Amino acid sequence: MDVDNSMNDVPVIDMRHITKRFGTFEANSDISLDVYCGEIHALLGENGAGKSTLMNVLYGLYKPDEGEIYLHGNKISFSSPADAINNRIGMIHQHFMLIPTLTVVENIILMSKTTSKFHLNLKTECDRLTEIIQKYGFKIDLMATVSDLSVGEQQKVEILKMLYRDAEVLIMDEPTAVLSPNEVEELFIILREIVDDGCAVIFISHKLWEVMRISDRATILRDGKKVTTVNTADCSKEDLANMMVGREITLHYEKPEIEIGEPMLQLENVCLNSDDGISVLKNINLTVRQGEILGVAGVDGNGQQELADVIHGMRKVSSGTVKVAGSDTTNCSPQTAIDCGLAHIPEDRHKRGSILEFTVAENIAMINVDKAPFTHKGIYYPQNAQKVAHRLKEEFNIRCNSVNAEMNTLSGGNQQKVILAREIYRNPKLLIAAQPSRGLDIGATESIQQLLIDKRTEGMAILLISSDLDEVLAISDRVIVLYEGEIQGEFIPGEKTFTEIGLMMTGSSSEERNSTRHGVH
Amino acid sequence: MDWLSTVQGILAATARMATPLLFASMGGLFSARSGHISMFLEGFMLIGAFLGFVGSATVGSAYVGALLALVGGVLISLVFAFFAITAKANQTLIGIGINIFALGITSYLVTVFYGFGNRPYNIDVFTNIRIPLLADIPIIGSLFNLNLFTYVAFLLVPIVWYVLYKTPAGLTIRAVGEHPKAVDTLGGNVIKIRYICIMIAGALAALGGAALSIGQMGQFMENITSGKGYIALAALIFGRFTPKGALIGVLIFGFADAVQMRLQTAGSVLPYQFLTMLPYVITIVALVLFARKSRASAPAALGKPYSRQS
Repeated sequence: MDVDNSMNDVPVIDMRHITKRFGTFEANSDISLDVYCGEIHALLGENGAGKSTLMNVLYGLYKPDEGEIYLHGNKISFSSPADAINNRIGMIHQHFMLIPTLTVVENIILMSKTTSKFHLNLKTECDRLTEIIQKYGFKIDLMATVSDLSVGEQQKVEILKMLYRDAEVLIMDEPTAVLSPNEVEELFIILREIVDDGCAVIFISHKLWEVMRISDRATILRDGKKVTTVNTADCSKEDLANMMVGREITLHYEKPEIEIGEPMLQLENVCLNSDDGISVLKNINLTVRQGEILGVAGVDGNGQQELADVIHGMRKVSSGTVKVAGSDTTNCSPQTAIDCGLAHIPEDRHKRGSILEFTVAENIAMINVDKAPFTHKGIYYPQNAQKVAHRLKEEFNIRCNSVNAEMNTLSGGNQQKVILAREIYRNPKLLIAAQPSRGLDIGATESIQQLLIDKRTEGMAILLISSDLDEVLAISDRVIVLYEGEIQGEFIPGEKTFTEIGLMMTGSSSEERNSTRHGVH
Repeated sequence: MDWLSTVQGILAATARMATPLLFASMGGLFSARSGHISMFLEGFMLIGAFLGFVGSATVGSAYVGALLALVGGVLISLVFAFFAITAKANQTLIGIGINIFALGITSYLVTVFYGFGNRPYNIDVFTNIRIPLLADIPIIGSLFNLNLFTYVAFLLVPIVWYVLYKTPAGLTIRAVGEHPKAVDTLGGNVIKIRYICIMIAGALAALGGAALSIGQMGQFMENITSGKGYIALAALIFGRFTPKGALIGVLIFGFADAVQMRLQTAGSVLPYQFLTMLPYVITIVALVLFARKSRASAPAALGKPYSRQS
């Protein structure tokens, strides 16, 4: 009802018929968007739908080729972010624009109108900030160095930065991507307070549930065009998904019951210290058997990458044993682990998963290049690689012009399919899938997740490492939660609520253990 | 030997030797903290030394020489800025290019202007200014009977510190060197800020060169800087890109230089070539010992040209 009232007013932002081209590619074609004060307006769309382009046009980073922007009914034209900020529009980018080596207060006052142009007194600036901090109940140490803060706290600094500049319209680009569930809740409370104060929030997202949960209205973009604007309350999650993708999609997977087989991965008391001597994996015990997916949930940077590296032999454990398909591979080379039946879809598909300058066929041949059919009597046969690549292209529905196309001409989803196809082609016993659907659109995510389930049903053992909790809960048979390199607990999806899992992801469930540990000192 | 006068002499010589390095490293702080690999200091110094000499020899005033050096330093710094910031070329390579260019052009022009063997030798230089009362203090009094360049160089340290750490502009400069996009999204002009920082580096490094030709020697010869720009850069890295750290680094090198000169004149048994090596050996040792630690303190965007798209 709040929304309906404000509908009578002039919209704070009114973008009309915006078209933005890059070369011949139309990133935005004829998009109109109106946003009112007091509402959270979601901008929903898949990767490449044109959400960020539209917002960069609004923020003055790009100049639109066609169309007009009105602010409170007055036509405006921004040529730089400075214009946007001066007109009380603030943007919080997906990758934070914070300087890690500087303090919170320094980051906030950077490029703003300080008390004096010639003297910087951080104490005075802090005093000016406390008012805003108290108003929104932020708990933040202004003199702390940003690199010491958690991601959630860093985001609060970003919000403070914009509130300090008196922003009336706050653009948030995928703000929840890096947050734990509890931090997401906290963010939502803050955003609600901000709009209740008469501001407007534009919330860019491709996650359906959070759009349902937080937004008053949603504008859906697809392939650079506007689909429609809806009142979120009148829609179901499925409606939004269908509008976003343009076809019916499943949000649930069928997982046939199957017999669990032999253990394919066993970790016993695995510990790992970083080069600086910091303990990054603490006493990890886990087993993955044939025909099951073990999900590893947790906020990024809590030892997930290291866990995968240790199993793959990329890093040597400090203590403990690793067994792949029954053979002890502790501190063996990556090749040994592969020979034992390991396949790995690495987290960073550009740096570690593939060579972008190589063709699809070459990427497919990469790991098995010394074996038949790629190599025969020491000679590499590219035509055989192309044949295999052709077959996999059909089988995995990889969309590319030809198997001789360079990897970097493919979309993210298709690159990931190439890697997946290569790893599965070797018929591994154990598959580590690290963030397999990160950055992919719903369609690609769906097909990759379905593929993982199919392989599990065929009897493969899969270790799924993902910071996307929805993904972990949707396809895993069992889930463990990793926090600061330690397993916080294990459960079966559906057994625990989101809040409980969220607490595990921030280590809060192990409070007892922590307090006894502190008691020793 | 008179120990008192030896100590006095070494103190004053340390300050004198440190002067050109201090100018260059204070300038280098601006270019490095805003995100540039400051290899060019050597070339900027050499051009400053040459122009300072030419200005003084032609007009007959050392002040005109210093002014000419400053203007020349800014102009050559714009060449670097254009290639590094606008054309986004590799900063190490441009720096080396400028250094080789500076060595060639100054050696050539000095011969064209003055021929062989008849260079003006009696040019106007910055003479020592004795500060009353302070100069009468025992031992350290010798530090208050030096030329204007030296006084300015040491005054620069607190000034640069204040600008970088106690003004909004300094905060912006440091931010540009760490995360230029953050500054851009807040409405700052990264390109303009970087150009200005390079120009400041050019002006100060060229004055450091002039401090050699029309401050210390009253002469210009080929390759007069003989690697002093690189030593200034080393001091910067050694000092973790802070004014205080750079000052300490510069003083160590200045001290080493002063000691080797004293040993030379005192008639050491070692061949003098070994003694002149001393500051350079210390440079290498300091860099080996501190390079690893200073990598963490280097600005995150060092050597990376800025563009909005990436």
